[in-house]
Amino acid sequence: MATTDSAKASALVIGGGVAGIQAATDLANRGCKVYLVEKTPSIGGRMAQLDKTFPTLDCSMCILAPKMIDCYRNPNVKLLAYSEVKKVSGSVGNFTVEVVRHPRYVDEARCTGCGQCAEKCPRKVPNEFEMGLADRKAIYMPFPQAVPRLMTIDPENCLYLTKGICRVCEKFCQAKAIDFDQKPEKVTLNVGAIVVATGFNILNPAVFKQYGYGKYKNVITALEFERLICASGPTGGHLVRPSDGKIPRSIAFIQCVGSRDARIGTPDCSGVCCMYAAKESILIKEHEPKTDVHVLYMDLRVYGKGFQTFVDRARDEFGVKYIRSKPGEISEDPGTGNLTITYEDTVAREIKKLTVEMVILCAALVPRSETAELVKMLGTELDDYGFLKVRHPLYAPVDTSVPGIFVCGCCQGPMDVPSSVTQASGAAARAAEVLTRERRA
Amino acid sequence: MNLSRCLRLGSVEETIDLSKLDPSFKYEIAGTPEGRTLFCCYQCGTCSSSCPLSEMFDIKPHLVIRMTQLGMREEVLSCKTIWLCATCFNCVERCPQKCELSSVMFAIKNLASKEKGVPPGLRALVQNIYNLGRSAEVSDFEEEDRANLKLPKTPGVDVEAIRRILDRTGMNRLLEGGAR
Amino acid sequence: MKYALYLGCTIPSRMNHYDASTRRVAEGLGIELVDLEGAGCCGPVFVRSINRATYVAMAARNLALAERMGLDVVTLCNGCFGALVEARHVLKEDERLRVEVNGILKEEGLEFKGSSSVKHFVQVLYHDYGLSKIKSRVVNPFRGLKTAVHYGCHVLRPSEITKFDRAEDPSLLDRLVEVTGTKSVNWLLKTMCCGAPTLAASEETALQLVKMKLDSAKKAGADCMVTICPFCEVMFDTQQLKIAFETGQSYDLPALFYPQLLGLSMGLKPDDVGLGMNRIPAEKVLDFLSKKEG
Repeated sequence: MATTDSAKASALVIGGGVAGIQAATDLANRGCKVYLVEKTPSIGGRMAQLDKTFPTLDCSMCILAPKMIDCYRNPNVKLLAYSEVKKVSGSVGNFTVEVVRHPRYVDEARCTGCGQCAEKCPRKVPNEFEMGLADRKAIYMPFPQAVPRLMTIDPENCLYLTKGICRVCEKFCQAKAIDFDQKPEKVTLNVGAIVVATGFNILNPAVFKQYGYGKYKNVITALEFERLICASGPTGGHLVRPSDGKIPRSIAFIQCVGSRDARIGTPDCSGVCCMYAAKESILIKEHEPKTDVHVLYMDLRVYGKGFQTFVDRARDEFGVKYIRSKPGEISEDPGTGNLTITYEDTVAREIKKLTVEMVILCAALVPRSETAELVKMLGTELDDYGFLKVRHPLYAPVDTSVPGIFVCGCCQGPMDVPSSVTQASGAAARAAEVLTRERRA
Repeated sequence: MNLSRCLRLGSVEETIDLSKLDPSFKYEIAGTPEGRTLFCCYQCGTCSSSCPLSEMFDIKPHLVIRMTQLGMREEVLSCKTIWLCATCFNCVERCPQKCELSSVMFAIKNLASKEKGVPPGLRALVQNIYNLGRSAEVSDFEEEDRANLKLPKTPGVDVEAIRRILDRTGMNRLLEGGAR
Repeated sequence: MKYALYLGCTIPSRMNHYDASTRRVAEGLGIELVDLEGAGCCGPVFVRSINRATYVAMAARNLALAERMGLDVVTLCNGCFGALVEARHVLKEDERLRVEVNGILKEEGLEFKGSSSVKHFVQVLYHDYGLSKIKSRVVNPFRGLKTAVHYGCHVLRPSEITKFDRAEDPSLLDRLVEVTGTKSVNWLLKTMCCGAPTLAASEETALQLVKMKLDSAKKAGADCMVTICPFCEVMFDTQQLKIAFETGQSYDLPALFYPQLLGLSMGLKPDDVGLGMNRIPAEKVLDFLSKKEG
């Protein structure tokens, strides 16, 4: 257990997405010791799930992976992946945090991440990273570029841990890294400042029954689409539709599903969807130039540098058709799996029906349910929409109401990757400030 | 929508003559209990896409709201849309802004009834209510049907009480306002 | 289980078989329905279109009559249901309106307090009576009969006020229908309006909606339709006949009231449920009963 002295030089970052990674790296580079706690077996978060980022169309993982490695290898960073914060007490300069490290049932010192075990494992489970579009095994690595590069056994689905049979992984592991005797480990951390970077979820659009998500196979969310179009995804980046694996010849995006909605979701704008729809449209056109792409929108909120020109490019250079309308309903032709969207083209002032082979819903960015529990532990506040509340949006935009606890990224509100990274650096600077002050005191 | 695109389409959109607008119209509607959500609308078009009669209307539902907001009193009060509306509430159910469009239609119709008169089809139904306490007659034929079905006679109506309501709430005065 | 039965205007004036089948079914199940004496028109949408105050007062009067009897109101008509539920809702929220309306009702010694709830008969069957108990009374279930279930707008929407079922994919009536052994088909335009309120303004427009609905039901393979509102029935039964007569387009899709369907599966005879009064001949559904008449 760390002494109070080193507590004043240590920080905790909760959440290993791009914001958490940035904050941890920044703090570490300033000489602070950082504990980075991440709930899932690997850091990376949502950005790891994306194919490309806007507006530069950089490969997302290519930008993220070096950051992940830098962070992990930084001597001042102690990465506690597959771990969760369970209790927080104390105050600025001297927080005591209880973290539980879930057992991977894999010896971290021995595992090389070769993946032989996963090949032999008989138990298939929907892959959360692939948004359920593909399966993983009960022993798995969440994605090929995972950091740390370790396998993990899912205790809820492993045949040995649930039924006492199998143990095939152990048989084939050449590094003898399987260890079914592992137990959860409680770690107590003593830190001077905490940065929360727990990210977001997307609204499950099944709640909009008129759009048929969950009922019609070819209506998917944008995040599911990212996995579909990504070369490391379940289809190897081939643009095929879920119902029959055929290349869709026409696709429509529906914007604002649950955003700017007084009834379901959030009355606020989710900030990133107009841009990512343009981005995904361009990706579709790059993969399949003959596929018609339509974007049904209410307003185009593309305010950042290079954003309007990006959308103009999608429309003028790539031929993406923009239709100003929020559709009433989507129906399916069960024979073909094609979808018909009934909408009012508000510029032409006509009711039209658009039949496409696939529909992508731009669902609202909403807070994770775990954020509410975390907030209770930390003593910070949630805003009216369930996101973490900052002390003041103008003069303390990364502080929370609790001194020493800072927040960055989407757990605070919807924002794009550049903004998350910027906030992360901001939160890291604030945390470092606190640590320096406490150290001198 | 820029000017060059308009010209390419072969028409310039009709402009609205500001001098003909009535700025108080929107408050007249929004000030009523049924019309109070008039200002919620952000013109997304979901209502018009969800309306089963949208294609048969002269003015689309979301445009009725917009025109009311702008003060196009004449056009809104005399359009066919408001009276063709089937009051199915599909628009209300799906509106992301919780705008009670069907209710706003009722508010507009109430005002249209006062200023333009009541459509003859509806007038006849209300006349029935005044005469019989019901919107349709239960004649001897129907009573015979009921007897054949071994049903008791149709429950009685207190026509006086109904007439009193029509009178006290100003319905009679509305109907006296001449045919449409 | 005792309720005040409010018939409204359309049933006694042209759909008495709905009344008959409901009463027989209620009798068979042990549900007591007492007529709401003195009740007049509910204050339907065309009254609300002309003058809201008249509508609210008319509806309030009927509610007050039921309150005087100390019973909840049961309606068979969606229009009446929608009118009464909405009026009860606004009267409970708007004190000034309530005072105004009670001022008129006072003249005949009535007062609206909001103590009686409004239920559609199928809600009574589903919530108060219960599917499993109904199932035990189904002695002659249908086999292989496919029906397109039509809820009608004013029970479903606005769902925050009617609180009847989910508006986009309801299931209450489908379950009630399936308990008779009938299969409820999945049809595209299931929750779309029948067009009834438009009839008074433009018959032509209303009939376009009816045609769309009938086409959709037919396309889904339905043998018949089921309704729970006399005016929806007017559209699908009377108007279907009119369409056949005027355009030659025949759908041969009988439209039954739900209590007719349920009554037949409970062993009631066609005459008991007034099957002969359905304008599109409905006798063909009898062929689908498991035990046929001798």
